[in-house]
Amino acid sequence: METQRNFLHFPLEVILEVFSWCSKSDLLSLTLVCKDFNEVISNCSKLMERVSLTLTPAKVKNNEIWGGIRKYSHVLVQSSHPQKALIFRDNKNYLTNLEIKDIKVRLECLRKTFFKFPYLKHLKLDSICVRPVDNGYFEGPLPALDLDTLYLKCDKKILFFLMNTQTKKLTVNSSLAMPDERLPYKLFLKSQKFLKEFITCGLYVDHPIFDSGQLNQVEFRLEKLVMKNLCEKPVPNFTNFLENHRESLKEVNITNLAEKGDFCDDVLNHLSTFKNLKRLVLTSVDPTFKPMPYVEELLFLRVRAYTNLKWSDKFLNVERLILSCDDNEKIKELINLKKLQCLVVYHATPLPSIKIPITFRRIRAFQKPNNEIRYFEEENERLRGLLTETCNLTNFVYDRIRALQRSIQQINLHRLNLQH
Amino acid sequence: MQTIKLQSSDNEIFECDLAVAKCSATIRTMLEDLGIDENSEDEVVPLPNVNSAILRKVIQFCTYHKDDPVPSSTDDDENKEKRTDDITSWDADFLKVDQGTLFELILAANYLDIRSLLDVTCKTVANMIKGKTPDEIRKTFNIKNDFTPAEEEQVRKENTWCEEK
Repeated sequence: METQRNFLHFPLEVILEVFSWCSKSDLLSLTLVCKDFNEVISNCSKLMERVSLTLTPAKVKNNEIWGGIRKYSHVLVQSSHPQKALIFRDNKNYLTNLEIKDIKVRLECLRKTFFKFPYLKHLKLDSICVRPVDNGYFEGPLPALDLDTLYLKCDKKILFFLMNTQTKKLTVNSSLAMPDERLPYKLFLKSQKFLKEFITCGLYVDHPIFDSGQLNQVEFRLEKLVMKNLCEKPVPNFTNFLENHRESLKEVNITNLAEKGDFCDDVLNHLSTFKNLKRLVLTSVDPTFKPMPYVEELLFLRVRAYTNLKWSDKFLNVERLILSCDDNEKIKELINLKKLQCLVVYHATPLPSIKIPITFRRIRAFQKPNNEIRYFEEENERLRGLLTETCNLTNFVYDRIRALQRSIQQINLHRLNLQH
Repeated sequence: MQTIKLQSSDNEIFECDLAVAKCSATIRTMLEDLGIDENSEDEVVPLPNVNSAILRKVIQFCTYHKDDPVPSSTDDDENKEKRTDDITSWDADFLKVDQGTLFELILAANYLDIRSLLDVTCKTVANMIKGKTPDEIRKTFNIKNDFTPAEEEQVRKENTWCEEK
């Protein structure tokens, strides 16, 4: 036996035994000590249940769960898919059983009936996802809520309930593009003070909500804007809307697959002067735009969408580039971008060895997302980063194997003793 | 009084009461499996995973606690909040040892399957963790922080909603 052992070298069952005596707050601290502890605690349902109770549809169906719920100070109501509302077989029972004061509940999904729940004021909501519910009515509004994230996938009535709500992250979808939905949505957006991240899906960018007259006086300043829309022509009001966030915008993600890229080009030209915009994600048809000297990270996610694009002219300072590209000549051009340190290529075709600049820290290629192909056969300094990661992983596996071998040794010794 | 001989990993032989040795479920099983009975005076039970210093401490602990009632674990007990502030003064004095010895005692208790020793040693380590920040825990147990700042931030974020504000 060694004279001095590290806690980490204990067999798993002993670590679990020690942790089983730790309080909730100590367990949370332990998750931050090192990866092994975090893994042990996260993967141990018994320990995790001391931290919070996660209600899944399967658990909810089992009525026995309600008997023990009072001992938890935190309850996470979770569906298997964040976009799908939980359908409880006995919804009334579920709501009734949440009549518990001083329990912090994070609801990842809500049904409309929740809003009738009279004990809502006792619950602290961090995040809600609201979905439309057919043939119903709402009673509201809700008490003032400070949310981290709000997903709106519903009709305008829901906004009436959320009129006192502040959120840092807002996702809206196309249902709000309907003409009669626009006013409450605009009012809601105007009432926001702390919004940092704004995601729209299927919302026409020429939607009146971007009317500068309406949103020029907003208090919030966006740091991230995600627009997954379809728009062909330039929209003057939209660039006005962007102008409000000139200083704060750090990341823009535009997905616009309209036949004509005029809208995109117009927006990109405008963004090219935003000094704090460091990350650009673009999925667009053949863009043509001015140089963007401030962008440091660029993601181009449409194959062959930039046949005529002169990279070296456009992105002088890009350090990290992720793109879908099956054009080997283009990759050769990219590798010579002055400040480029990291290149990740999706949809790559096998490529013969390329001479890579010494400044490169990392280069990877994938035939399709998550399916890596290695076509850089030669050993070189640029792959060191990747190799280090591989070595770390190998060491981790070896550590586990050694631990297993030690356990087997102990069992064998024990068996030998018994045979004696 | 019946005695039994226990052999440590460094080949030291300890003669102790059979009742004391039987505090260990592992030894009890070994005695039954090996067919060592009360009359087998010369039989030695080898304990290759425990050195003499630790085995001496284990025997000292078991000698003191040999008459303690065996706690029965029920579902109710499992659901009870586990307390770590109920260590008796004798046990506390007994466990005033360096961290290495404490860890060896935990491993020995686990190997020898001595529930009361495992509980009290684990409680002691839990008390060493109690109220400490992650960094203080790392220092206490000489653990290296292998999180990248981004990974650490992610775990912190996941924990946020569980922490009382």
